[in-house]
Amino acid sequence: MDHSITGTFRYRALTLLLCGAWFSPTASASNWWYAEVGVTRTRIDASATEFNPVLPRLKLGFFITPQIMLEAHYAGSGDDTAANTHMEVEEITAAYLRLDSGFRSDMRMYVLLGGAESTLKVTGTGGSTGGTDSYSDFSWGIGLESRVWTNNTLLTLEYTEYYNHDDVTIAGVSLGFKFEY
Amino acid sequence: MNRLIRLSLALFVLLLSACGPTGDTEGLKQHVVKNKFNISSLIIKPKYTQTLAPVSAPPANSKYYFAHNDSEELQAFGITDTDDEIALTDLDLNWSITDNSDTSGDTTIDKNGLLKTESLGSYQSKDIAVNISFATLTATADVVISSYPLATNGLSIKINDVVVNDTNQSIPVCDTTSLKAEGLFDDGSSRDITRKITWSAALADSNAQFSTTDPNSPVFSSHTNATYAVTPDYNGQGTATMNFVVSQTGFTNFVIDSSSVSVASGETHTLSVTADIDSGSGNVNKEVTSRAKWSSADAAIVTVDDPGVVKGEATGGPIDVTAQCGSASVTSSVTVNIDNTIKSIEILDENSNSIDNKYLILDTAVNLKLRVHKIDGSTQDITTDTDTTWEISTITGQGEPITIDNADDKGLVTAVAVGIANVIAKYKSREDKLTVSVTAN
Repeated sequence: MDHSITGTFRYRALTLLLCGAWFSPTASASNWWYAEVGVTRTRIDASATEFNPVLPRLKLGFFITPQIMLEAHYAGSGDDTAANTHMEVEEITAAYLRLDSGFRSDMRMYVLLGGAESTLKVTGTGGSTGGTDSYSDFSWGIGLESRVWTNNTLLTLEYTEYYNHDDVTIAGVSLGFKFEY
Repeated sequence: MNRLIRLSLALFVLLLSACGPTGDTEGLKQHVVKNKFNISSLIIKPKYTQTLAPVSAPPANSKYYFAHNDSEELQAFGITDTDDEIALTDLDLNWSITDNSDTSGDTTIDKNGLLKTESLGSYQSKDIAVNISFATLTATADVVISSYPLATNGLSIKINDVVVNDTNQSIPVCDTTSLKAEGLFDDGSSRDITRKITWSAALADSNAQFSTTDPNSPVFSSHTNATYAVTPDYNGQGTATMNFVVSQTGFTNFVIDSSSVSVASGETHTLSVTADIDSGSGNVNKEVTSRAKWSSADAAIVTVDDPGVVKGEATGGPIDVTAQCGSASVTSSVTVNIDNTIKSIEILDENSNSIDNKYLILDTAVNLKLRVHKIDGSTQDITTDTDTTWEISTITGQGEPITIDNADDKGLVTAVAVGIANVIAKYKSREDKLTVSVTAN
């Protein structure tokens, strides 16, 4: 109950934010979309057990204004074994509204607000059957970018929480290389 | 371009609106726990009302008898590949009931395993099955809901888990006796019904301790030799009486850990006593501190409010503190010294400033404070400390010109009449004095 109230608040706040972005004049920007490739080291906590699958990740985004973007994330499969349990992340998909701080000394920070869906498969290491299920939730992230080589190429370090509900947490730290077009 | 952006935004808002937390987290957690502990099967057990007969060992053919119109807590355990039992707590297990009888049932079970049995009315018993699923495993327990009453003379008392038939039981002084109650019912079942029992005991003042704090494990003990009648009652259906004859028999080698101790005023020291106790199976050395009777020869200097815990009230001594178990007693000499970590105490005004005199107008009040100065140079506000007391000695006036709070608002001085009085603050055998003058305006 408590979670759903908090969630409703978040979604309303986010909807207002998006509506604000909708009606704001579109700023001129030299770049209007970007792509990033990288890796994500996930942390999955369940029943006092931690799993850390490493996933390849692709990110695509559009500029609404120079400091407001829309992003889509897709992380592919990876797995880890702990406590006799094999945890496989089949995929993580996410969509975010991204708010940038603007560059200072070729670096900028940003926050991500949106939603994510993670698909996990659990099996026993002894071959026992398990289950596959998808977990979706409000998702947020915070990141740091630094220009490298050119004005259009950046290195990205990002923390993202994909799911946090009922004592199950799915989060990740990502390192990526980004190109703005 | 603008159209594309706006379309993206609209889709994004739609996506977010569907972003409530979803997913079977319980299933995920259960799979992890199952694999983590190598759980290969499940069993269900009642937390309290164990069915003793007819006996069938779980998990196969387990059958539990429960009273109708009652409640029972059921617990699920996972059995590991090494036959260890793992309590499956803090997980929302999927409990359910299978009722194949002709009678419509109101028996329910919640996600915590709390089974509420229906009222059977004119029926005497009914079979149901309680099911549980966990990860990929399932288990079932057969339950008989019974309205059969307790059989005549069907209530038995168990001492240390053994049914006793002799209604007079000799037990050593200061020993503990764990009691349980077993019921034989007209349906032929025997059940541990300790939790359902109302116990009464004819106890002479504080000589005996009969603790039913844990209704599943009542404990009797006494530090005074006498005969005590303990009577359990099962919902008015049956009673039994057990006479506990408490004596020195089986009680030897009574020893206190310190024959003399020094304690600072306001501080405490815990003494302990032990004895060799033979409850019928040989001597066992036991700590009996909490069961002995404790007393101080001079409560103005040393008190013993909790078993074995001596507190220095004022400097002096040595004072004999005695622990007694029947006719056996042991003594420790307690000397109370002044707390030499304290240099002085000082009464302060409401702003924590030093004062020698305080002037109050009639019907006004002030919160005095008390500070301790320690030898190491540190200070501490002890206004409301449990060892701080505030007193009044009147110098002039008709009656006491002030009142002072010693309870919820310690140090609050209220001027109630014209006159002069001394406020005396005491803390661990130290004291400070302040003169308070009350004027009409």
